Amino acid sequence: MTVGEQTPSPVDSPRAGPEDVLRAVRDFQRGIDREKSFELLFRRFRPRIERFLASRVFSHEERLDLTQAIFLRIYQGLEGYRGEGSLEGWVLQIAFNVYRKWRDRQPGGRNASPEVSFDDPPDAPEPSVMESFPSPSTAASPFDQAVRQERLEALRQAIGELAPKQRRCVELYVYQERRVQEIATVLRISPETVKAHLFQARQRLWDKLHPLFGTIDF
Amino acid sequence: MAERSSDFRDTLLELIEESPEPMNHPSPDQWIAYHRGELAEGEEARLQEHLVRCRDCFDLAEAAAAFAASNEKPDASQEVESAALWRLLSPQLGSSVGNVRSISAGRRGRPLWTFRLPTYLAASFFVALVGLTVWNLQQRSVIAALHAPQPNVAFVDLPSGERAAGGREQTVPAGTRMLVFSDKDLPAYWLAIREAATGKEVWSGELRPNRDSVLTLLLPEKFRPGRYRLELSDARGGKVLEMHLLRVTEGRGD
Repeated sequence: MTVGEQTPSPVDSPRAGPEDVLRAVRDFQRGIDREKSFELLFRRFRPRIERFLASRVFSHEERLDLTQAIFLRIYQGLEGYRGEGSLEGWVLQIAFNVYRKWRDRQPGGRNASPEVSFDDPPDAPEPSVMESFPSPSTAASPFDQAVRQERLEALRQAIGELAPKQRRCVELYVYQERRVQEIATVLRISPETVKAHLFQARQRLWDKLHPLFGTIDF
Repeated sequence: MAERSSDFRDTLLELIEESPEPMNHPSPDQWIAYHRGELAEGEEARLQEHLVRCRDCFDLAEAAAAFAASNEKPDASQEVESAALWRLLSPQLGSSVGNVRSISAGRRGRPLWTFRLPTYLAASFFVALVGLTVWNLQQRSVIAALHAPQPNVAFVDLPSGERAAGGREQTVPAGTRMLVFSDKDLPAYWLAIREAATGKEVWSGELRPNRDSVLTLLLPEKFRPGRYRLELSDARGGKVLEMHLLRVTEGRGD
């Protein structure tokens, strides 16, 4: 069977194989039974899109709206899909763009977090707190500048000495202000491992930096 | 998550900001491959480093995790939901996105009867109201016509003494007619109008002579044409004193 030949599409099977999907795309682009071809793509990608939206969009109805909008975008763009990347990458980009547009319209925009995580680690006990250090970001005098440079260098060195995964966890947690679950997802590790990395990194940084910073709070 | 500002936090942010901003963003395919563990170790580390500085790529990488996971066999409820969603989606394919009906905006298709009931009631009420208004206007015009003076109403004189069914038949065209029964001396009479052929009573009522000893009865304009027998009795169900044959024809004779 040649690719592109019209064949009965296994629309009813949500586990249509990659060949079936590619054939459906080509049938669609040639105008052969477009609705049936698109239905196969719908059944193939709908579970992934649902999974993608599930943790981000709380309202079930809004998830359905977004799913609908995503598939309409796919339908409109599928004729122009040239197969330069994988189809799922292309679908992912569309799904992400539609979601991002929706998210930016929500109150709070990109900083709005629809998910309330209970996985954040409790604040680790700090051995002591030194409150009287001047803030490096506001320091202006030569002395303050020197203190700031000293801290920056010490932090660079201490961060550099952390294990790569620990460092990334700290940077994502502090700089990107991501939740433990999100960090775990993108680093492909468990949330418990992220917590352990953060805890260990906090301990090591405390050991090395507490004379300079007084407190290592993140 | 640490929301508050601190020396350590500010310095760390400053340190990360000092590092060069990433220029080449990984593609969605790369993120999917990353989540499937298909990349070399060095490439994986590069992508993870990229995540620290690039918020959009972080979001995309997180989304890719959902795509990289293999499709599990959906359960029955997911199948049903997918089928329902497809039924909603398929009619809209080919239309512009701006024309998409939001699911959260309300149900599509035929709503439940409980939602339709108020609409049906309102529609029924409206139709009934319109019908009553039209009927009322018609009735008003009829009543107005009845109340209006009717000049030159024709008289049909029914002389006293007609008795037999074989008596003279009077023919009158349809239209308003005044039937006049002259020379009546009883205080009251009972008049029954019957169809000549069947004897079916069309109308009956009591008539009293006026000061000129005359009984009158106004036949309305729309009195149905036909042959009638007018029976004048001394009382209801009493003895028939007079009988007149009257034929009302179609054409107006006014």
